[in-house]
Amino acid sequence: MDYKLFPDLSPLAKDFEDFFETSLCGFVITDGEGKIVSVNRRTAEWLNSTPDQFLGKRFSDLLAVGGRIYFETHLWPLLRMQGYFDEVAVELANSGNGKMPIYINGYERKGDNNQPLFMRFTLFKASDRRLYEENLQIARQLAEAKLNIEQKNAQIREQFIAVLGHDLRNPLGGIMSAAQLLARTGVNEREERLVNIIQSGSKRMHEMINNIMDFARGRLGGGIPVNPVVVDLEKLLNQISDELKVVWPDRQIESNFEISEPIECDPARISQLISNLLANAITHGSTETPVFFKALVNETFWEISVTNNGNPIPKEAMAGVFHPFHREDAQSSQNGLGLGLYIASEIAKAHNGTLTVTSDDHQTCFTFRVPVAIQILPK
Amino acid sequence: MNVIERNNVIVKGAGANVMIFAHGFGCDQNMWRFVYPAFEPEYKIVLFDHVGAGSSDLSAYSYKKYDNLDGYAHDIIEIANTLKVKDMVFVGHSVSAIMGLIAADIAPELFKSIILVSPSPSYINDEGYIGGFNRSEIDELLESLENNHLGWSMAMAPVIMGNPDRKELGGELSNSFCKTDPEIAKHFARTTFLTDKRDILQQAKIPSLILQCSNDIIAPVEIGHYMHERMPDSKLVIMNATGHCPNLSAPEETIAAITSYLHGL
Repeated sequence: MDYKLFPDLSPLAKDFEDFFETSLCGFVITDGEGKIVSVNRRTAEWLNSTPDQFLGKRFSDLLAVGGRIYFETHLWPLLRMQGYFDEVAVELANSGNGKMPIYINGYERKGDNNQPLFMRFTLFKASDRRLYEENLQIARQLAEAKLNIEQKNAQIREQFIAVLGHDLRNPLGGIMSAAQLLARTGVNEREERLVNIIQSGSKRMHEMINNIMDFARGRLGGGIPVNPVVVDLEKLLNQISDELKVVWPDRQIESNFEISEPIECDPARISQLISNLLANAITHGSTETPVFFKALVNETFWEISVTNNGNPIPKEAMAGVFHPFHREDAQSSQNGLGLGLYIASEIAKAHNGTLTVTSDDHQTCFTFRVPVAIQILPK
Repeated sequence: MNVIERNNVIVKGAGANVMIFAHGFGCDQNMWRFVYPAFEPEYKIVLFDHVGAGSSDLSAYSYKKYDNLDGYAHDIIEIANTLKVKDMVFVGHSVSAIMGLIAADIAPELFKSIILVSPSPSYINDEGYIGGFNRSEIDELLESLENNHLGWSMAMAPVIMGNPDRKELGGELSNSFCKTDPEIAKHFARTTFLTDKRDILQQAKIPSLILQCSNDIIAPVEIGHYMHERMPDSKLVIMNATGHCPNLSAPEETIAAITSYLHGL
């Protein structure tokens, strides 16, 4: 280093002075009021000037007008309120080299009386980083635009599903009434068999269309609509389990209800949710053991759970169980559209409740729980 | 909508008279932290954040309503009406000082006196008027904000950090005093710096104190003289404090100037 620059200083002080003046970053020191008392040569070079030109000015005088205003309205107050600020982007004033982007850190030192003694600023050149950030910003804008288009496409697809579901209902209604009329007109045995096929096929189709409509409502509107009324839950649950026993007469549903008082819910939607859970438990669970059907009402929540033994839900499938169009690949043809549990979880949400699942080698259990404190209001 | 939550209104002290503090562009109610405690024994203190700043309800921000200062002035009137206060001492910093004058023009019964701290009715130079900036400079500011060239890059996301220097701030977020949604900050800057409310000065009827700093690039001393000459019942104090925020850089001098003015009323 050139000791001739600082002939009166000790070697250590000279070394420090050199570090201060020719450091790769800029240093600016102001007094407690914000008047500049020291500027290193690096800073002055960036501004095409010499350090003494800045003495007595405010720090903001070094900055381009945007940064000057920003410094006085944001950074100076911040320095006084929290004592420092870090990594703030501003631009140096244009002194022939254009407005150089910099990052500044600021720090305030206070004396014993809590008054500021001085403030220090460190300035980092940030031209390349500015370019990098601008590129990032452009990339983000492009990604956002793309996402926007994708979201619109997805919405159009879902609207298409809703319209399709709705329009399929009318012709299917015609088929179902015709089949019913036909069944009453004294058909022979072979014709009766054919009418039965039409009737059971169109009934399945009707259920699928209803599911599609519920799916579309859940995705496009504000969720599945519910109309809560005061309900005798025990009576409702017994009805549901009786209906399923008719469909699967050889299977056992073991009920255990602890219901002390009526609750508020949408009975039709709860039937839909619960019969879906029971039907799943019957079709997927072990045929050797009953399906356990429990309900509990207390002061803080009410809860309905359906448990079956048998093979667990595969680990990799657990995360997607409540997603729409989820189905077990191996048996896809039997599983309809894979909307049942999605709709069940939407019904749970519409009741401000939760539908959760646990599954291990021993048993699989779906639990629907609603906190009582929360009022259920139709959306 | 609940005005108290919308504007994050905080009421302190139990004095019979009310003193309300309005922050300017760039900060929130915290900028009064060194000033309001001095008035707590004598006044009921009302602090609030403008919608879009501090802990206000950002969802209440309307680009239409806050496209001019009248929107903010109506908020001030709403806060006063909700708290059922009258005869307030209104203390407004920078652009908020002008909001106070607008609010007093609409509902003078709410105001006893107005303290204007580093105010400016218009930031842009005009014939016979020194605002401090040329139009092109203000455009440069707005452009820099638009391109995210100022502040914390990408977004002004405050970082959680300890605050060893100021123990009283405890667990507050670093830089949270300036937390603003970047889009709202851009719009507030536009509303602030493109405002010209010089026409309201002559009709200001409420007794007012103008506090102007000696070396303020945002609101030069000339503005203080300009306002004082046009406002009928006004007093001008040029402070020794420098910069744009005497409430932060020289709280004692600010408190003394306000106290002496209020005692003289």
